[in-house]
Amino acid sequence: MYELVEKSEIFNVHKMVIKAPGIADSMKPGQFCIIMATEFSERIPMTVSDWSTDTGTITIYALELGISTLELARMKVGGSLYAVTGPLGTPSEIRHYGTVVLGGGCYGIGGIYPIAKACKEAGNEVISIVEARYSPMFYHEKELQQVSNQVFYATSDGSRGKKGKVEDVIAEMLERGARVDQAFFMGCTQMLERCSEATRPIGIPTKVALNSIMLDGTGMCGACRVTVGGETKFACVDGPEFDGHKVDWRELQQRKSAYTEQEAVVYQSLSHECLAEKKLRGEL
Amino acid sequence: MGLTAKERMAIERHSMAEQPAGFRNRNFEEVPYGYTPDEAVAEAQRCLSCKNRPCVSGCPVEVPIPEFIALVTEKRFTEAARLIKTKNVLPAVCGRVCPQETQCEAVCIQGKKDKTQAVAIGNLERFAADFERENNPMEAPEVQDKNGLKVAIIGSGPSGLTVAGDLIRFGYEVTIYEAFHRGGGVLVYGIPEFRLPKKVVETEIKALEDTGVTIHYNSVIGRLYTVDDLFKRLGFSAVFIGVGAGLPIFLDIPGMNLNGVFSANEYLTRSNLMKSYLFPQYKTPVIVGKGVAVIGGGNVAMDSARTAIRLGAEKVTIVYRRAREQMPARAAEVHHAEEEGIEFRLLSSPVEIFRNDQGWVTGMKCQRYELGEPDESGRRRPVPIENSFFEFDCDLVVVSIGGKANPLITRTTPDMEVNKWGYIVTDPWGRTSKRSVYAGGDIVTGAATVISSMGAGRRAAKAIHEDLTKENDETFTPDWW
Amino acid sequence: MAEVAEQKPVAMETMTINGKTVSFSSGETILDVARRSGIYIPTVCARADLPSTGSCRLCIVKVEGARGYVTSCTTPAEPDMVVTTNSEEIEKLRRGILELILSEHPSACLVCAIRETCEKFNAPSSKAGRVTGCNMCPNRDTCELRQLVEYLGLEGIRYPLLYKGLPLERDDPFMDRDYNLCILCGRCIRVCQENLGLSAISFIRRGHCTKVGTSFEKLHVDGNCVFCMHCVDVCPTGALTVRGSKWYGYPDSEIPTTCILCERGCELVIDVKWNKVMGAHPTRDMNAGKREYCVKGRCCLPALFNSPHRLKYPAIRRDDSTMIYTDWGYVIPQVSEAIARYKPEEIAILCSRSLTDESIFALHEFARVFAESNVFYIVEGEIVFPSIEKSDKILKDIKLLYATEANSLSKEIEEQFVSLEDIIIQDIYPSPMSRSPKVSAILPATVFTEMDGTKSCAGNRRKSVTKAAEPQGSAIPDWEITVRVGTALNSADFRIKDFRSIQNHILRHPWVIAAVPMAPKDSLTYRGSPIADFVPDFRIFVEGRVQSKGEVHF
Repeated sequence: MYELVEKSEIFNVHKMVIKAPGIADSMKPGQFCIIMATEFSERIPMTVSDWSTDTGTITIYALELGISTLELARMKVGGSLYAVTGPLGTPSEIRHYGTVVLGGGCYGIGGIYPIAKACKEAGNEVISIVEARYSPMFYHEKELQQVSNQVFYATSDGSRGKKGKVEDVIAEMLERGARVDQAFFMGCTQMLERCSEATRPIGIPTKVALNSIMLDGTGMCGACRVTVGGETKFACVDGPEFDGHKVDWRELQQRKSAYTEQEAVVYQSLSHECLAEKKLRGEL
Repeated sequence: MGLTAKERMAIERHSMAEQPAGFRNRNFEEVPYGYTPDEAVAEAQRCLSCKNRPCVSGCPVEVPIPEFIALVTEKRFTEAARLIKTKNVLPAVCGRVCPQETQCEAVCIQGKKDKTQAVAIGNLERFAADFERENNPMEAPEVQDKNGLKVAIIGSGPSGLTVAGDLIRFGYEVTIYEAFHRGGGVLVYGIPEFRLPKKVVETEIKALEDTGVTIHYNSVIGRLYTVDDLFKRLGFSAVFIGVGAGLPIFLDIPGMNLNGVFSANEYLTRSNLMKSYLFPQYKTPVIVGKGVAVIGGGNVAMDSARTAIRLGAEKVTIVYRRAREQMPARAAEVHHAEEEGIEFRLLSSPVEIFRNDQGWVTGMKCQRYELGEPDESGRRRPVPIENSFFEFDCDLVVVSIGGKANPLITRTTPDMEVNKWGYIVTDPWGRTSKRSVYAGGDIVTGAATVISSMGAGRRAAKAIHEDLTKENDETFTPDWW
Repeated sequence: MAEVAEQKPVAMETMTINGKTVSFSSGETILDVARRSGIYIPTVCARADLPSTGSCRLCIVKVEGARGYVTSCTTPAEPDMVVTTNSEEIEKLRRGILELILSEHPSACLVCAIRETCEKFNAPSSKAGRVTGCNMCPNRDTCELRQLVEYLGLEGIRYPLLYKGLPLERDDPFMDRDYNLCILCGRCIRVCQENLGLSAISFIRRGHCTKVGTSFEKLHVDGNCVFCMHCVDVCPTGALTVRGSKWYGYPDSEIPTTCILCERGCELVIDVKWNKVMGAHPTRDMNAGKREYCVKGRCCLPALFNSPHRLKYPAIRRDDSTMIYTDWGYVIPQVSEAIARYKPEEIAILCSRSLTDESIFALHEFARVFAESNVFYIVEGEIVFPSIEKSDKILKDIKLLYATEANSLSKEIEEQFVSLEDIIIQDIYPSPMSRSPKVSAILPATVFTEMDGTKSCAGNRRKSVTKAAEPQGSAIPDWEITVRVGTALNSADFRIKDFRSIQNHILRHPWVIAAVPMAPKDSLTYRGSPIADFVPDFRIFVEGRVQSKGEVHF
């Protein structure tokens, strides 16, 4: 089974270190895993932010944003996940680009780390830009600093770095005349779109890691299909990284909201694994 | 017992009792209830035990049909099941989903005059297997001494399970790599609960695991390991690829990526593997359409339509390009679907799917077709009729027009030959162009039946055994490389 | 003269607010007077229906002659007082106060440059466990802090966020609490302590660590809390939320109706989205001064009514004894034929107390014509005939039972009908009885949020029930089933034919409804089905309470 060996929470971001030796051995930057917390859970894709072949573990940063991630958030160290499948997706294309900008928000703050690391190892100048609402919401910070030549911060309230978002930092950099050869972005769909728009005018090659709804993750079902440059692609096998300037964002956003109704309904009869219930069952 | 051939001929075929159509279309329980022991014996007595056993040659895995039926007449049901299992590791599955009417039953002497009067071999097979499962503790088959050779099987579908079942008996160490969290491949994600209860598949897989087969779930070969990794890093002597066809095809018409358009693979996987018909207990959601349109005319289309109506759709329509006679689905399935209230719009093909502002499907525009000259498949080619468009409302579309080969493995195994459609090229025994790599099932043939995949598995198992045995004999050079 | 016509409050004195002379009665605060006079003073802690404490200080006003500013919610009005509620200076002070409040409330989204597009993009807020900003907050659309930010035109917060870092409290049934969002206004404590007299919560710890909680920080379910959710309804922030119904965003419509789970008949507004009941909340003019609703109506309805186990399609037993689903057009003649096979004295009707007046009346009218008025109820497991004297002897004659509350039919009750041959079920949920071979038909009915009607509640009040959501499957209201079956039986004596004619008859025969027993307020069932079977949290609450206190009240 896939034992949870470490868990901590930073502002709704749950760091989970999971024992999965085979997966850790084969993981490459830009890939993800599909995770089921329990036998009854959905299969949800999760970007892998770090892994270690020594300890045979993978690290994911899961934001609690719905029932499936609630199940993950509830898990305790020592518990086991029902299923972890991976690595999945096409790895990021890592080569010597020159100057690489990596932008991350939400889970992407952790998600860009392996790409940054690989880019650095490939001899690139790595500039990481991360965004959050407040300064204490940044995580995986030291690690990111180690693999970046520079790290810029952007906060909504201005409590750290620039007041604004990743694209504001990019705009500032470009104004200063900085040269960027390749950009990678990872975060919520809206952030990916905004950042892609920021790099479009001067034609910076831009890769975005899309996070569409998935089921099997092997290309079998087509749930994750996205339109990129007018062509239908499967995010799970052709992606998750695509050219940010060619993605049909509106369609992606619509497809991601396909289950809003069911997502809300499932909370109504949620059998909450709460203390009160455990007490009733005499487990406390 | 002592019936004459004439007496046997005189008995009418026994049909299985089933849930009435008006009831079963609202639940996910299995449609036919199965034979009672008395019915089974009575049906078994219809078998003439012909000397030349045409039925056996009609069976892709050569089940000793007359012999097991004879055991049923003697009420030795468990023995009958075990006899079938010497050739077919999944009798409870095949009894339910095999197209017997085109295989064993098609050549049955009892059905010579009237096809519908063939001995109900499938029903009897199902009965025997169910009887054994329900009344006996699973009995591990005899296994030869371990020969120290490891074989990896990719995919736990019908072909993979067959190869595993055969090789474990020959003394190999067998490891199955399954991409999903449950074993069974198409048997669990594709075929719905009401046609094949999942507990049947689970028992079969459990039995296989008990005999010593290791199944690694959640393991996607091509990503986790490449085929070469399996040889070099993990020390396997042979690899069998039975991963199924894989990629769904969508139509090239406007509106294919709208919310509410599913591939049949997705729709069925949600409902079957993820059990979203039990939502919210199982957390995977599925959209319950009001008006559901299923595009396609195969068994998968029938399964999708029948799933949709069970999930609570008010109206389910099958849209198919050709006429009823050309439908690839089993006649029985089409009949079941019709009984359950599913509407057929034949000789029609969608040209556009309509949407609302939120990006959801609202309807479909179709064009009428007529049948023209036969094409290379021998079926009459459907020809669109000009300006014969019609529209209807629907809020869910399931596309079930077949699939393509999944390239996950073939792309990471460049030295293995594939044909222009991406399917793996093999010899009749499942040997691929890559040494010690075998393949079978839909990844070789394209979408086919459970039993033909099992047949391919059986042949591949034989080939693997033969090749590996000879390989250890240094003087022998197999003729195929 | 006009002045005569103007009704003057008695014993009134006058004062001036913002240059306008207003009258007041003794005991009123400046805020009371201002509110009554239509003058808006911003507040977060004060509410008209709660005692004031002056803790948020946003309601400060200038009183001529008084030093500094006073909190209008705690300062009594005095004759000839001259009050200014509004000035550059006051607004500036209020902005400062709001900034301080927000410095302990994660509110970066309020000052975020992309706030609007972000909220439009994420129409329903993400279902975050820990809320770190408005776009993740379930209370986003009704947040009073956001309204104040708008009103005061606050553009930035000068202080860094002081996030308390308290653990989420999600271990109780029904309720999620995130005191990191709490601004310590104390409304919840006041409503619980002073208005409802439960005192389940109070301020605990001290100084910077002050928070709302139970004594010894026990779970709410172990204390006095009855999960009535009045605290949730007065909370100005997203700190207190109902777990089961907080993530659907804007409802498509809000329909006021009456909860008829018990005799109290509380008025509730049903939030409808996707044609489903997604939540229930108090009416706009809710008076937190009294218990207006309980956990059953406030929290249980969505799970209860959206249950996948609801009966959805009519089913009938065929000649070969198998049941099949069918449609109303087929089942109604079948049912009426079955009824016609028996003599009126052989038929009895089990009427559910949880039906609307129209449905109950329809059953009575049906019984009067076709079943010798053999209507009975099951009250606390006992058969009760309300209007006529019926003896056990009559029970022995009954061959056909028409049950609208099959889950109340215990084995013992069924055994009292010794010659029972046939059961027709008209219900909303399956019951153990549905599997009985005697059942010849199952008719799916709607729940009260799926139909219009009226319901007589305690205190002789007749309240209206309004259709909010679409029925599940092909269920129809109970009265409609009765009317259809009755009409098919083709008797001139059967006088009701539609909703209006039922209502007319109810007016003319009020004693029929008056004799109906009512579901007690502590009832744990709806239409005979245990609510706990459909709402896991309800089971936790009830069983926990019974374990600790031996009984449960709502």
